[in-house]
Amino acid sequence: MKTNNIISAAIAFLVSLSAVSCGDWEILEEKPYSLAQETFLKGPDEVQGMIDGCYSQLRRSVCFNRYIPILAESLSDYCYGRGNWESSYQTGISSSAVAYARDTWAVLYRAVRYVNTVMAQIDDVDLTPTEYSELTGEARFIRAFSYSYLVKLYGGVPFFDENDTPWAQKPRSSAEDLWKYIAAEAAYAAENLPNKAKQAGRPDKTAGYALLTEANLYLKNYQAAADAARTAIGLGDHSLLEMSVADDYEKLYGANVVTTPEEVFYFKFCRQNTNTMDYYFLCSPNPINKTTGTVAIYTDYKNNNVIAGWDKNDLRYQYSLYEPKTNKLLNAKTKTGMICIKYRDREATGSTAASDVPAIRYADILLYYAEAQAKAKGAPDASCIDAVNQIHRRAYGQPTKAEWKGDYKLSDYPTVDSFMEMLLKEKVYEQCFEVGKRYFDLKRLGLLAEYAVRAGRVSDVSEVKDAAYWWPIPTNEFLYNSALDENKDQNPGY
Amino acid sequence: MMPQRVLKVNYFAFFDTSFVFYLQWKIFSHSLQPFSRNSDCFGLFLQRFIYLFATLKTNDQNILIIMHHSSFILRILVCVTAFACFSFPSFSQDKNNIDRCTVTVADQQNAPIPGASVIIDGTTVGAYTDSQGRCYLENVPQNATLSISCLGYSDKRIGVQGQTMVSVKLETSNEYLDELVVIGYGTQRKRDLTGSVAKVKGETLTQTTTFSGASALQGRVSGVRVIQNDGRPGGEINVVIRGSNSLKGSNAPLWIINGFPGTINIVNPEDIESIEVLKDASATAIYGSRGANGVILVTTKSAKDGKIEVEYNGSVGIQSLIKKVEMCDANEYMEYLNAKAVVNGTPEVFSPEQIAANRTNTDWQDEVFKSAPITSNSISIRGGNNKIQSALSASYFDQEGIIRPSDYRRLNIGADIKYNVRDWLQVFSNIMVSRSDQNLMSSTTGSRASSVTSASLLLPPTATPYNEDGSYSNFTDQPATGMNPIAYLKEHSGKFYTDRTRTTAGITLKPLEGLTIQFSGNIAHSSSRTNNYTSRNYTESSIGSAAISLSEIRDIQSNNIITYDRNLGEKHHITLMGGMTYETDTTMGVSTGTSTGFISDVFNVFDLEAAENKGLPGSSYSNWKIISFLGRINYNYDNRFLLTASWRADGSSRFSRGHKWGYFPSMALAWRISQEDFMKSIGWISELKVRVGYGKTGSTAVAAYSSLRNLETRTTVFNKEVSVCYTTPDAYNGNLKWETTSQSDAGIDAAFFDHRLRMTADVYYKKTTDLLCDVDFPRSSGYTTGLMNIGSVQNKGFELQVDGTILDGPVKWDAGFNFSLNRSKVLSLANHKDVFRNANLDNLVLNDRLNIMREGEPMFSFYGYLEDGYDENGYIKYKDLNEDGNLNTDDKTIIGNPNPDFLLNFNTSVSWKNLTLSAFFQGVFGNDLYSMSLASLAYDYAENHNVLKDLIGNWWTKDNPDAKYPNLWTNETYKMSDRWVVDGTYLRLKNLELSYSIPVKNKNIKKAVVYLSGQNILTFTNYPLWDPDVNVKGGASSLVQGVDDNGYPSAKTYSVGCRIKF
Repeated sequence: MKTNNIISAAIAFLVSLSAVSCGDWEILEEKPYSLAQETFLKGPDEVQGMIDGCYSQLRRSVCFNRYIPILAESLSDYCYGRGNWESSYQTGISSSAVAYARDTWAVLYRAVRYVNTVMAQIDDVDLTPTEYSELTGEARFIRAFSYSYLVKLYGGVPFFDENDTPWAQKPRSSAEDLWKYIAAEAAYAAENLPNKAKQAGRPDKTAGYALLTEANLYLKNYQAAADAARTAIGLGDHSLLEMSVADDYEKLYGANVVTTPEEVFYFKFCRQNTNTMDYYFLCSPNPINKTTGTVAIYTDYKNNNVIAGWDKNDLRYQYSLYEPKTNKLLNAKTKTGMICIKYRDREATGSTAASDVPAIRYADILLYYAEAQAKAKGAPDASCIDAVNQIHRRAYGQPTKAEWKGDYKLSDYPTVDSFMEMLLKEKVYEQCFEVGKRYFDLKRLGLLAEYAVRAGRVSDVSEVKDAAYWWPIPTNEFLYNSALDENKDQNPGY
Repeated sequence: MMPQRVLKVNYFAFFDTSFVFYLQWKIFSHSLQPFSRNSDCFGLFLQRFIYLFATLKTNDQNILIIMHHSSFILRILVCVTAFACFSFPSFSQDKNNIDRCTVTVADQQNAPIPGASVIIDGTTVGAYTDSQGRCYLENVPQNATLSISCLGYSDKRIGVQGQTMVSVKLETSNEYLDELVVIGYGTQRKRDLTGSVAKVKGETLTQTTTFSGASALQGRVSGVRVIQNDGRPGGEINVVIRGSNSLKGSNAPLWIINGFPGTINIVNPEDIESIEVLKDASATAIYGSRGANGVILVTTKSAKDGKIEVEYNGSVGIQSLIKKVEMCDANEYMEYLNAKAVVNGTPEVFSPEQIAANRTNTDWQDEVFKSAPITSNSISIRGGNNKIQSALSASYFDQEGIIRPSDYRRLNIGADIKYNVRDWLQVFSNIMVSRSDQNLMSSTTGSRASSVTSASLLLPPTATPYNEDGSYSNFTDQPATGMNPIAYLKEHSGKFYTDRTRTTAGITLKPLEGLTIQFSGNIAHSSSRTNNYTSRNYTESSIGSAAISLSEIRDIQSNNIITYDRNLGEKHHITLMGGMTYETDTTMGVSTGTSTGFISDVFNVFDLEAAENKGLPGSSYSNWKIISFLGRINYNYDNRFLLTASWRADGSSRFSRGHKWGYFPSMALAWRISQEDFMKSIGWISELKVRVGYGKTGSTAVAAYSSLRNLETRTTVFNKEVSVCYTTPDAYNGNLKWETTSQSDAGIDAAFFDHRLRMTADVYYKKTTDLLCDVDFPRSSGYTTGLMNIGSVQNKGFELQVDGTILDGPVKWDAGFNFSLNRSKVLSLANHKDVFRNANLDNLVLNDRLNIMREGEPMFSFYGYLEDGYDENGYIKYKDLNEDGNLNTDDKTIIGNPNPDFLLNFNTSVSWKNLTLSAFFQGVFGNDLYSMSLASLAYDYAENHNVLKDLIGNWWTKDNPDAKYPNLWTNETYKMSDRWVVDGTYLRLKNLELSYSIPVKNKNIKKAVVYLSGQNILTFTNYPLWDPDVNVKGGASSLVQGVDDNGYPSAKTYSVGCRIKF
């Protein structure tokens, strides 16, 4: 009996061994329920799914839904950051914000990398010519758009496209080269994108031309900029909304608006997938939803000349700003502070709101057109003045296309300089608290210091130091990129 | 069949009157008592006696134990009634049997040994030797084997081989050496150990009332550091053995529960029989790829042979905050704010009238922290006979947190059963079920009153929790806002439920003498559920918010082990072990996302359909497998030289193809010098053994699927609707293989003065290579990191454990201490570049990386700026270390070390009559803490929250340029500097217990002890905040160690309890 025991035990043991030893250890192969990068891209839906990954990055709070709108704008003439968001014309963004800027950098580059990944593989995907051009148009628009913000925030930055390996270490390219690249990519996008995007939140042809306009403005190719803007306007796919009272602006900025003809390229948010930008604009109590807000950025109706000089009858003033009297966070800074309530979301809770971030509006294109055309021709013409007037009229509840007694007159602005002066004033009213648009304009035009003095922020242009112009290149980029040297390649002032 | 006979036990030879007296006392009270004679020997004898007692009772109807009294007091008879249901096995006359066999037992010097037990193997027939060392057995089979055992001597087995006279020589031995120690896939006598293995008995662990066996281990074993992340009930406990090896993977040891990997959280500490800690590679290499961080073997109290025993342990205690942090009161606060406004040239915050009129002075710590009860009850029942043995246990542990409603409740039920089906076949099963309910109260850490703990310190004392109308304050009328902790605690619930089961079953075959084949399997299952609900009352804008997440872990394991144990000649003993094991583990998760907008709080999380805004559901899946082959040889030559060699091959699914297999050998030698003839004359040395060992172990370190480039599902929004999209991972993956740790160990085990003084000392050197490491990529590449096998680290150290009996008279005094010293060093890293955790530490006051891995430096060192006094305006200046005129990251340096210089713990117990006073001190010396808490409590001038009282009068002014604190500038931006590096040294009276053993007369009660105890009642430390035993960002695989950031503080506890045995 005992011998049998041993034999049966030994057999059982051997069986259990051989059961796992056969089959070349296939049992150790991993079979996750997820998609692998190498085998995923098969058709248009997969390509679209991966391009859409870019939006999931760019719309994050470290990028377009908080850091850029707040930090960039906090260095413009009309508003102030508070706490960690407090920027200074002497030392630039705060040390906390330096850490934020690092994440913004990473996220913008991540969107670039996603596009690079798609572009490296897209030629092997089975696509119709239309699908191919629309998808590559969208992908290359997003990449160029991401680079445009990298250049605007950090200056010349390392350049990667689908031809680079992931572990490459690259030096800074010049801002000019990057703008040329952006212009070329935007031109491709404008060519290939559809007239009307499939869904609100994606770029269309107009968006491509808008980016082309901007790139050319930075390159000082005013004629090309004017042409691109004119083409965008001429497409007729977008238009201004009409307003009659201040609250009508809610049709443009309100949290529940799905889309409008004025929307060209927005980062979209909804109740289930919210933004945090609004929370940082607001403070408690506020007239929107009372309790939300931490007032990271604010302005001042008494001490800031831009706001003090703003006509109180302007619907945009009435709509965009609010004077909280009892919030001690703000009162500890100034008793005459105002906050931005432009992106009102009455259903917001905590730090979440459903309002969109208006990266490119039709109004922006009109205003860019006015500048480009005036500079291309050496003097403003009727089309320039008309573009500004359309926006100006609606700010007083007038129809945008009908002449109005309050219109700007071409005769009052015979030169580019006088015209630009008026245009910049109109622009700050139209675009305040919008994704750093004011700050980038002032920087591009070399007026940051002068306008800081005018606004009463500083007493002399010399007080605006280098750090006010750029965000610092993140220190971890220097740590891990051997092609860069912090002592030589860091932006001045940091 | 007739009952054959009554086994007579004659104790005449060595029981005198006093002994019998003591015997009763010992059995009933089981407390440490003064003995007139050699106490060790005596205690041992008692243990054996009790064992015998149990053995005999199971096999016979009535046994008369006759005890002889040699003086004029008449013989005392102790009559014990055993269970009538067990019948004595039949033992008929057989002509192959020897009618009468005489066994003589003597020691090495040929002196007779009385009282030795002689039992015929495989039966229950036996006898005890008389004063001549002789006993007589009847009807003994020709080929029978006799087991001879006696207190103070090693056990011996000998074949009868048809002889009628058998003489046996026993070697002296003692308890400490004969004690069985559990090792990987087997057990060994302590004296045969070649590796570094420490044993902690269950009763030591249960001295402190705690939810986890892991936290009970704190301070008990040298070389083992137990750190809690924070003090919340059910909070994470991290165990690190001989320093951390891994940057990417877990540094937690492998927990083996009754032979299979598992979580300690399923085990009720009261059910633990013993915990063995395998520290060196020669002991852990048998666990191969999972042994690098040490292995902790947990053995629960199992079924046993003997009379049914019932044991009840219960305690109830009250916990409270160890100490309060001194914050400003309302007046100080208001004046501080005004002083700050003056410094910054901003409007005053409070007018003199407001200050005069203020009647509010809220102590937010008093609002948040409350005293809380803790109770523990457990009952177990064990018993059986030689055919079937079983055990059942049940326990209930209930701890409320000092921040209500945080709590931890656990119910455990366990069953253990063994069938001895045949003499060569045993079937066994062990079942554990545990259910824990926890309220997480996860709102901790951070600054600016953003969490409950932070709010309990930083909220303005001028604020109140409630408005006059009874609604919760939102502090908008205050200079500083934050969360309302009372509202959070009352209106937010985060419940965490876990059900765990673990079922082991197996068979043991013993087809031949010395050969054991065991097949066993284990099914472990854990399902947990989190219910989060924030009510509509939380803040004014709350609309009700509910989320549920579920997670399930399904694990199956099998062990198939053959052991062959045999003497080869007189002096050679060999044990061979070989086997194969397999484990597969699947984790599946589901989450509902957060749904908001409920018309009533009545739904809680149980009607998500009622939400206006539905959450986005999510789900996940992960599976890994590991297959192993293992083998070990133990060779013992003449009880003087011991050799152990082991080998294991592990195949893991987690690694890239071609790198799935790893091989882990080990070898160790020991020399028991005290067994050599030349040592035997040195009487005061009772035991001396030297050991050396070397081995390789591994760490899987990476999560399943790390070697694949899988797309991640994300969401974005188009048309105001959520849309799904895919992204490639931020980590670039290269080819991954095993992280390997090789370790050398040398140790000495020694005992002196008849084992009254015992010590174990070890030195070790560990080196981990092929370190799995996230290598940072330039962020411009769009990647954050790439996972690669790069770099190496080392740990070396020294451990000493000393125990002794100082007094051994009417007053008995035992004391012991353990000392551990470990030094870690990073040897090499990818491209020689420093490694940090990806994300910054950020509490809004400080925001930077802190812990650095740098070549040549200790692991987890603090990295930052050095301060250089104040400038002319009272701003902090920093040292420009490279003197280039710029202050940038090049000026950062190592500013602290979170690794302790050494750990020192000691315990002592003094007993007199029935009273025992014991104390256990736990100490950590020379470690640095980085106190982000301090930064938030005393430096956050940008906001108007409350501050430490210590700040008042201590900030920079022109007249006080060397002040402790800088000037109160609101625009001061702090760098991660040495200012917040504080000494984390502490010595804590972890447990103080006074117990009284009730001298029970009732024979139904064997033992009854009542005790009073205090835990954490005394702490010596320089750390000014709540608790130096803190590591809020820690965790087994965290690169951030030694940080305090307003974590949940530990409590001190006073409790009363009893331990009763029936």
